[in-house]
Amino acid sequence: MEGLVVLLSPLIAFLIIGFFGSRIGDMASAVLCILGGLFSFIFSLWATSKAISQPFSIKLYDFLPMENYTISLGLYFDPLSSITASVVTFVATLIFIYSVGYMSNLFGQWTFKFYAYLSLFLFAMLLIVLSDNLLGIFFGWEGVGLASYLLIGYFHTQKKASNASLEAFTLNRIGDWFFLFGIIATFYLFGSLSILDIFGKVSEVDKALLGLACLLLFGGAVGKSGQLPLHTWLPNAMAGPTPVSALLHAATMVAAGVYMVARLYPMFENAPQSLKVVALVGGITALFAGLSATSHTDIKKIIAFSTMSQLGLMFLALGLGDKMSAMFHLTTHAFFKALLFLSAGSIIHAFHHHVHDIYETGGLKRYMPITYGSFLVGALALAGIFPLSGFWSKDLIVATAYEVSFFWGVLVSVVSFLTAYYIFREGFVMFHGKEHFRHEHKEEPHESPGVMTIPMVVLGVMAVVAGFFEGWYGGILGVKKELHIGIAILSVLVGLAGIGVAYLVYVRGLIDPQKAYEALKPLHTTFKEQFFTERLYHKVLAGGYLFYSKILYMTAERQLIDGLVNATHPVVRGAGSVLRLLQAGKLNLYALFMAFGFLALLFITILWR
Amino acid sequence: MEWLIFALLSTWAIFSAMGVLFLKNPVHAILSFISLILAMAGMFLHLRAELLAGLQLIIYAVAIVVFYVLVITTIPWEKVKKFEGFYKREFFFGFPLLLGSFALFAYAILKGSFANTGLVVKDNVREVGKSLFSTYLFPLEVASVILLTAMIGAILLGRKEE
Amino acid sequence: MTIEKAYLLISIFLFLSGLLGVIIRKNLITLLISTELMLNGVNLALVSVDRLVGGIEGQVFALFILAVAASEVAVGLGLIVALFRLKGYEGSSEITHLRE
Repeated sequence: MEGLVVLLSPLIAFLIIGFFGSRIGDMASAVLCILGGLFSFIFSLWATSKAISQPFSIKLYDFLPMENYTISLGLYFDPLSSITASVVTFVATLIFIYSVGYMSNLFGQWTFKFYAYLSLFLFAMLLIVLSDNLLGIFFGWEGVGLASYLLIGYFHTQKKASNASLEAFTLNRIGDWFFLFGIIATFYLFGSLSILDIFGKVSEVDKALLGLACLLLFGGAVGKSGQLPLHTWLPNAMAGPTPVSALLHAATMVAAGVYMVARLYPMFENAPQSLKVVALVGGITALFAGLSATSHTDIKKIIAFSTMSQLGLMFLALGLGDKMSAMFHLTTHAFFKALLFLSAGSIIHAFHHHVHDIYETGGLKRYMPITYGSFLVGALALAGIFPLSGFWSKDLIVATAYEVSFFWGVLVSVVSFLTAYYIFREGFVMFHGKEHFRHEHKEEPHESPGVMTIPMVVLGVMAVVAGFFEGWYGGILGVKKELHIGIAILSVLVGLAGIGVAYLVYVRGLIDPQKAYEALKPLHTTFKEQFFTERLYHKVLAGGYLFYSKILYMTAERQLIDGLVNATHPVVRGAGSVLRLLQAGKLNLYALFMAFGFLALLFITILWR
Repeated sequence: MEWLIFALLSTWAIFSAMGVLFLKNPVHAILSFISLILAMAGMFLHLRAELLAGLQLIIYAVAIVVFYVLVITTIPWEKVKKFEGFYKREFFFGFPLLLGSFALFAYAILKGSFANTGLVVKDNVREVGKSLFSTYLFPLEVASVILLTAMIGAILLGRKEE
Repeated sequence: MTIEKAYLLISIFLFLSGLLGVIIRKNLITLLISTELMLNGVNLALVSVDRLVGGIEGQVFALFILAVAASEVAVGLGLIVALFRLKGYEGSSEITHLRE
């Protein structure tokens, strides 16, 4: 039953905060939220220790009894799910603590809602991770969508934020639609929704249909993880508060897609064609997002594109048949991506939430040493520099890619180079460089309070050391991978090259970035506009829909439906003026009508034989 | 002989009915109605329903018609005269309708055959009285209650408002 | 064509002419008399069918109809008198309260 605590403590925190938040106050709500996450983390560690030796499941209750199959809700703890749950709860708890500092200026303005949503978010994610059947995963899937909608649009007075939340919701809905149909297809194939049943029968079913089911399920993952072509919500989701971005990108939302594919990996493995699609989508997204990140200047958007790119790498690894490295990269990525976001949030907090462009900061190294340090650690880990965690996990993916084919290997190397370049570009501009904020802000930026820096330091430590658990992690998942020295050196060199380019451009000033942008303007614009996909969606799809709706409004609504509604009046009036002649109130007339009916009845009874 | 009686009685009845329908003066219509009732009594006798013929004369010709005449005398004559005649439009709609109905009925009667039990009731008055007070005792009591109710109703309706 | 069937036809004629009277007469009193005409037609039909089939039930029912006719006349005429007292008219066409 202790496994149940993992799932339920965020839910209980959510319910208490949701119902009594206005009574107990914002600070108490925050503490409750953190406690919920903490309990969940402690018990998930316990569950992990138990699940490593022997996977176990907890049956909660029969949800939907049917004639020959009963859908029951339950939890399934195996190494994959319990370790993911531990990572999720660990990172989420640290982000919760951090958010107390970040949101402190909003305390007293119904901020308890924020913590209620955060708890709900964590609960929904844990439901995805721990559920033992697809329907439970779907519940969590929708819960995550709802919570992300609420949190991205948390600053709902800002047009940008509410639009972003709507966009996230809409694009996720497309993915969820695929996911739901994938679940239906799976049920059709296996006659069961339980993951264990599916794994038991996976080699017996029709391969073509299985591939179709896998592709539909993967469609859900595409929506949730912000892969091409359902990606535009992810950078726009940066309109939400920074802890939400961190949570979204590190632990909960986007990880759900990768995790779901890894969870159902036996299905994908038995339909190799679907894995090719997964690899293709992942690879293209990784390159696409990496290129887009190089030209953006928003502090958080660069990191958001980086997340997309890294998730693309994970999908690529999954598609190339390497589940272990994908999941390991998801784990380490959770640490250092959360760290990067928290550092970015720390900078935004230092400027009282007014600065969002990297060119409005600069030279922060002197003022914010802890933030600088943690950002540096996160950036180095992201770039994959030995011996930080990113190196270990990314190296696995690089090795897998080169093993499969030279093409994928080169692609991953290019992405690695871009990653190192754009993250250090951001770092150099923000922490070195000129102090651009001088003419905007009179006071000097200050280091964030302890409640924010301590989670950053803890995450920093984890980002450094997590990579050393590679062998342990692989052992648990039953995969043993050798480290290729040559490839390791190559990827470190690629990362260093990216850092070097960024250093030369942005610190040494070898090339003036502005002039370079001017010279390469078409290319720059293409990257910055995400290859015009966002514009395409907004203008052509959304705008086209709006146009179509307007036409329908002008014709079908105003002319046809309104016309019909308006026409009822004269029709009824005319019919009434005719019929009221019959209702003259004259006895004789009524008698005549009776006689008429009498004749009709006679006709029927006598002649109708 | 039978047909001769029939022809006489039916002609009498038809003309009386026409009088009820088309005479303008209500009093004339009532007189025509009395003549009809006499014809009806003759028909009942011809059909060997002697009890009914007698009751027809007693109830209709005496009770009911006297009632009508009484009511007409209580109402000022000008008011009664005011609404003489009949509706022409209704007549033109109703007459073909009823003609059609008559045709249908006549078709049904002439084409249809009745179950012939072969029974011939000899002492009609005795038989009817017997069954009235044995088999149909309860309906008879109900009919008397109805008459009582109608009497009370008529008194209530007809009394003067204080 | 027996004599009973002929009487049946006469009864139908009486009934329908009563109905026609209800439809076309203006005066309420003649309207009531027309209903009596209809009742008489039914009585005649019952008696002649009685003769056709051979029984007495038709005559018994005709007796009941007589009773109902008497009470109907009592109530109907009472209504007419009351109506006259209240409103001062007795033409059926004037009674158009249902319309308003």
